Formats: sequence, C-alpha cells, structure tokens
Amino acid sequence: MFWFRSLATVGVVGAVALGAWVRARRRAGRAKTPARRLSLWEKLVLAATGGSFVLLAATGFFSTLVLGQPMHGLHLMVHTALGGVFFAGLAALTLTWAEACRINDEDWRPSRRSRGARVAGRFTLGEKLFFWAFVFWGLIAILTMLCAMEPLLGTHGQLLLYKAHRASTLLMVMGGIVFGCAKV
Amino acid sequence: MQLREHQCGTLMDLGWMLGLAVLLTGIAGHAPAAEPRTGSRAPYLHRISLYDETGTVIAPGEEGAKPFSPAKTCGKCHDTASIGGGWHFNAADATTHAAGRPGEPWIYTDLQTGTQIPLSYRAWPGAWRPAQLGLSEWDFVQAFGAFTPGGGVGEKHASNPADPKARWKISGNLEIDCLACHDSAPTHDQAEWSKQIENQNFKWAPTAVAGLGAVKGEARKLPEDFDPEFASTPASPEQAPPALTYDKSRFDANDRVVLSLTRRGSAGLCYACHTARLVGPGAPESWFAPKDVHLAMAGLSCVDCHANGLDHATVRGDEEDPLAAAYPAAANFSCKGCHYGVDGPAVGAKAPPASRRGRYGAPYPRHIGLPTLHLEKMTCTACHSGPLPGARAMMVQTSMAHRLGIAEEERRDDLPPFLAEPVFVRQADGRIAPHRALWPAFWGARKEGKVQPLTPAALATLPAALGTQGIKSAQWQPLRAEQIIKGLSALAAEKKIDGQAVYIGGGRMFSLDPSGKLTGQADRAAQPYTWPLAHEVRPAAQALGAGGCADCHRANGPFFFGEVAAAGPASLGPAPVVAMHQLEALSAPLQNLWGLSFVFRPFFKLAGFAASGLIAAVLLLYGFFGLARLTRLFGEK
Repeated sequence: MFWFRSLATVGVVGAVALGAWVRARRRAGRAKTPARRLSLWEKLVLAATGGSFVLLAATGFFSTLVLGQPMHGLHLMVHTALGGVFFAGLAALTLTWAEACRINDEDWRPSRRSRGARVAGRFTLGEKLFFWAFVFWGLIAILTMLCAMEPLLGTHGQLLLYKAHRASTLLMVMGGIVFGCAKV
Repeated sequence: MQLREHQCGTLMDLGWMLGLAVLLTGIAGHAPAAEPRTGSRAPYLHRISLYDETGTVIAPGEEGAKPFSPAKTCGKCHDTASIGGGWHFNAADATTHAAGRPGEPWIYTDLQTGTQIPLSYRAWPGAWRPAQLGLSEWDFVQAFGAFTPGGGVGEKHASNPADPKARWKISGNLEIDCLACHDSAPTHDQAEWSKQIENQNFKWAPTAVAGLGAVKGEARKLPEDFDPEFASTPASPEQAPPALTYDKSRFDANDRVVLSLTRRGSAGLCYACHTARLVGPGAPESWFAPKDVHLAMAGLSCVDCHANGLDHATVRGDEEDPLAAAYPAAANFSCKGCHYGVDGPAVGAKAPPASRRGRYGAPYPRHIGLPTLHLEKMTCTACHSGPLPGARAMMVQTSMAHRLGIAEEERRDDLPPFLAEPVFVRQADGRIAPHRALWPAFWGARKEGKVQPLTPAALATLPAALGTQGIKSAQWQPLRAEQIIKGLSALAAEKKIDGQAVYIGGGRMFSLDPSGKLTGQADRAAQPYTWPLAHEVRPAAQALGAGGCADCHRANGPFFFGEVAAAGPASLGPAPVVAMHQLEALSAPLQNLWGLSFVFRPFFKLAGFAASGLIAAVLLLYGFFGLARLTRLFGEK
C-alpha cells in the first residue's frame, strides 16, 4: 500500500506537470485543435464513460490513497455499479471513435489547417494516442476485476489481479490528467 | 599448636560450609525441583509410589490410608508450582496473567429464580466476577468445580478465610488432578469427579476418578465442627468421614502403581469439559453431528494445536493470543500459523513449496475466487467453523454450562442457560467471527443507572414469591410476566436491596412502573455475552463461500440477516430477536442491496465479458491495421 500510494502521488504530480508542459508548448506554437461538433450519441457515450470513470477513480483512489485501506461497504458497492456503466460506455466509445482515431499517414505530417498540430481527420495524433491508450488500459482494468469475480485464481492470483487493476487505472487517471490539463 | 589452629580454622571453615550448604538446601527446597527427563519420545512408564497430602507414601493395605495427593505424588518429579500457573488454573491470578480474548464463561444458572449469568475470574467484558454475585471460592468450587481439573481457587482459597460456609478443613483442597488430562487408562472415570465434588469429597476425588480405590461417605454430611484430625466414632454412620478402600490389585509388591499416563491426551479427555452439542429445532441427530475435520480426517487431537509446555500455558489458537509474546512458537498454532506457516510467505503470496508450508503439511489455502478483502475483514473461523448459519441461530449446550458428561434421566434440550450459535459478531480487532452468545438473565438492583446482580443469599425468599421453590428440571417452565411482577414486588417490599429491583432478561431490563405495571427497556447489563467459536472446523468444500458468493451475499442471507433470539429463562412475550448485521455493525439496507446485486451478478459478468470481448476485438482489428501499415511501410523501402 505504501508503494502504491507513493507511486500514485508521484504519478499524479508528474501527470499534472506533463499536461501543463504540453499545454504551454501547444500555446507557444499557437497550435489549434480542429473545431468539432459531437453528435448526441457521442455526447451520451462520452458522458457515460467519462462520468463513470471520474466517479470510479474517486471511489477507488479515495479508499486506497486517503483511507489507506481496500474498498469496502458503500464505496465498493458504488464502485462496482459504476463499473457496469463504465464497461458499457467504453465499449460504445470504442465502437464510436475507433475509426475516427485510426492512426494513418496523415497523422505524421504537420497539417496546414491546424498550424503545426498533427491533425488527420477529426482528432489530433495526441488525442488518438490517448484514446487507444485509454481503451487498452480500460480493457485491462475491466478484465482484471471480471476475472477476480470468477473462481479462477487463488489468493495470490487475486492479489495480482488487484494490483494490475490498480496500476491500469492509475495509468488511465494519469493519462486523463495529462489530457485534461493539455486541453483546458 | 599451629597445626591445632589450622585444624580449628579448617573445622570452622567446614562448619561455615556446612551451614551454607544447609541454607542453600533449605532455599532449594522451596525452589522448583529439577524435573527428571528421559529426553525420549517413548512414553515413560510411571510405576510409582503414591503419596498422601502429608507426603507420606501410601500403603494400600494400611487401615485409614489417606487419599493420594496429585500435588505430592506428581510433584516428586514435576514442578507442580509452575503447572499451577497454567491456563486451566490461573483464572483467579488476574494480576499475573492476561485475560486474553473472551472465552466461555462459567454460567451461574438457577431454575428457581430464572437466572443465567456469565461469570469469570478473568477480566472479560460482560462477565461478572464471582464475588460480585457473592460467590466465595468455596461456592465457586461447589458450583463449577465438576468441570475444572482442580487447582485454581480449589486450592488457593486463603484469600477469603472469612467465608463462614467454607468447609475446606473437612473437604480438603481440590488439588489439580493431573490425571484428568493425562490418564489414558480405560478405568479413568471423569464423571466420578463430579460426584465427589457434590459430596464435598475434594481431596478424595482424584483417587476415586482414577479408580485406585473406592470412596464411601460424604464429607458434606459431616457436622460443621467435625475435626478430621481427631475423628472419633461418629454418632451416626452418616456422620462418618469418607472412607477409602484402595484397590490392592492396582498395586505391586512394593506398593507402587502403574499409571497409564500420556503427554498427548486424547480428545475424549478434553471432551469431559469441552463438549458442545446442538439442540432444538434443526439440530442434527447425535450420530450425524458434524465433527471437526482436524479430528475426523486429519487424525489430530486437541492438544496438537492447543499445546503447552511444562508451565501449562496452553495455546488458545487465536492470532492475538498474548501467549505469543512469551512463546513465539505459539504463533504456529493458529489457523494462519498452521496453514500458511509462520516462516513461510505472507498470506496471498505465491504458494510455497510443500516443505515450507505449515505444520504437518497442512493444506495451503487457495481460496479460489475469494476476493482478498474477505481475509482482512473476517477470521478464518467465520467461513470454516461451527454449524452453517441458517435463518435462526441454533441452540447449543456445553459441558461447562449444561453438565454434559453426567448421566441424568431428566436431561432436557430446553433448559437454561440458553446459548446460541453461530452468532457473527464484529470483534475488538474489527474482524467478523462466529461466536456463541448468552443473554444474561438475573435479578438486580439498579442504582444511579447501573445494575448490580443480587446475590443468591439476597434472593433466598424469591422462589417462594415466584412459586418455584424446589423446582426440578422435569417441571421447569419459563417464568411468566406475572411471576416477574410478583418477584419485583416481593424484592421491593423486602426493602433489603440498595436501589430499584429489576429483572434482566431477553436483552431487556424489566422493572415496575409506579402503577405496578411491568416495563422493559434496553440496558447495558442486558447485552449479550459473546465468545468466539472455533470448532467444529469444516473443510474447504463445506466452508461458507464454497457454494459461491451467494452463500452469504444474497437478499436476507443468513450471514447478515440470520436472527438470534435473545432467549432466557423468562417468557415475556415473543423473545426479541437480533439480526446478525446488528452484531456485525453493518448497515442492513446496504447489505440487502449488496446481496440483491448478486442476483444480477451473472448478467453483470456476462455483459462485462461481452463488452471486453468487443473492445479487445476492436483493439486487435486496429492493431492489425497498424501492423498492415507497418508491413507496407517496410515493403516500400
């Protein structure tokens, strides 16, 4: 627990710093992300996934980092229920934006339209990378907990799954912070 | 002359040395004698002389031969003073021994007054001290000595010489009977112990139990002024002191006996005082009653886990056992110590090789599919010990509380004291563990908000008011509300008690309001006394959770919503029930909701795996796209 708390603290601070740096660099280059309009479906998917993710992170990390103990009681119940919203949202998010976030040759060439930022289609390369990383670590987070609910592994395996779940969600949170700081 | 002086000096030196030697011998006489040891695991044949309480060798054929004294006989080779400080004997030595976690109390039960009150010399929360109930050491031995191995207050009663009822001089001391736990002879008759104590034949009891001789006569019938040192011809045969006739066939030509002693006593010896049996609705037939897996399958005996050294500081088996501070090896004997190993990896670490696992190659717990949180929030016993929980906790009888082991024609399953199990309680260490529970029932005086139990002496006239004088087990019925009213009125009318007369029972405190109506209210004194339950241990296949999460996590599941009736010797309307979640300090709506969520858990998991499959497929698909692009890129170059 000590190591994870330390790692999480360093990770979050590092993510904020990295996000601030990206943001400063983006502003210095006066890069501009393409203006985009989200459909109702996209807004819904984004709200479900993002909202549940924020609440999952809050309930999960509050117990681990603030209370210093594994989740239990109401926290665990809310966390589990939100997990259902999250995996449904993430699946919808993946289906909705996978094609738009497909990395192609254009992503590696500076776009004239965005004055320096690499944009090919609706999203910048950074946004696409964030998307795929978020989806990948989200899948790990979901599978580690679903597997823990099945009679597959013993205590040692359960602990490994738990640690993997914590690590993957920490990476997602860090990614989210970098993305958020860079965008705000 | 010089030679003479030298000789004189030498003689004086010799005198000093002799004096010193005598002094040292005197000191050594009070110190524990060095215990002779064989150093072998082979049992040592105890072909020994028996000694009476004065330390005189017993000659069985001699007229007026005295009963054998375990302290003098066994004390020839073993440090009985050290043994006397052991767990089974040290309860009253509260200043020198930690109370440890609560254990089974002595339950003072009186059918006439509807009393069942937990007592202990140990500082266990919720248990009253015997002195608070006006019980002297003499009273205590009379009431509970039958289920002790002797010792304790049975021989260390000098602290209360003022007790006018005490007849130690006539009865003799109730010494530690080493044979109670170490005699493997088939002639050992522990039930005889109870009879001899009932007859106040304390010092004769070890001889009778071991079958070394027959004891006739009852010390309790001797007059108060009887002096055993100057016993004369009695006025009546009933007033004769107990007469002992040794069984000469047990003695050899040298007046020695062979005692079948064992260091590793069988479970049967422990069962004399530590039997428990489920009774009432839902209780299994005796021949179908569950047995502890360690005894039934693993071939262990009680003492393999509840071990001790010469000082008889017996391992209690819980992880918080204060004994572990003095004896680190004691940590090996808890569930965790044995199954995970003390020197092995921590709980949850990868299973070590068999050579590094717990004692006797105990199965290493795999706990497949069990979220690790359970191992932190619950004890091992929560899932593995006692009967499986049902909608209602079951009633249980124990040797110490119900005198099991003594043949009685009127043995009933519905007699006080009423004990319930399994009752899941959150312990002081924050973990949930199965317990036995007793709701105290007694008459008391309430003053300044505190209830003090009334002594049996103060209640001497109460049975007459209740109409229960001399009632026997066969006729016993629970006290009714009108009887409680009569009792409270009688106590108030006597004006002997200091405070308001109350009756504690069924988890409430009853008193009379100004109009004479019986009213009940909650009170601290009415709270249940609970103590951890560790046996019978069920194997993994029969543990809670072996059938899946829904063993516990379901709407109204017994682990959280099972009920415990606050049963007592009074029937004052329907017995109040307490739900397990109350004793576990958990929220009922939350647990119900959580349990309900497990109804949908299969769908939840199905949807989760489907979503995961979908996401993984997309990741793979676009991963392949990326791979295809990479191959094209390399191909173009």
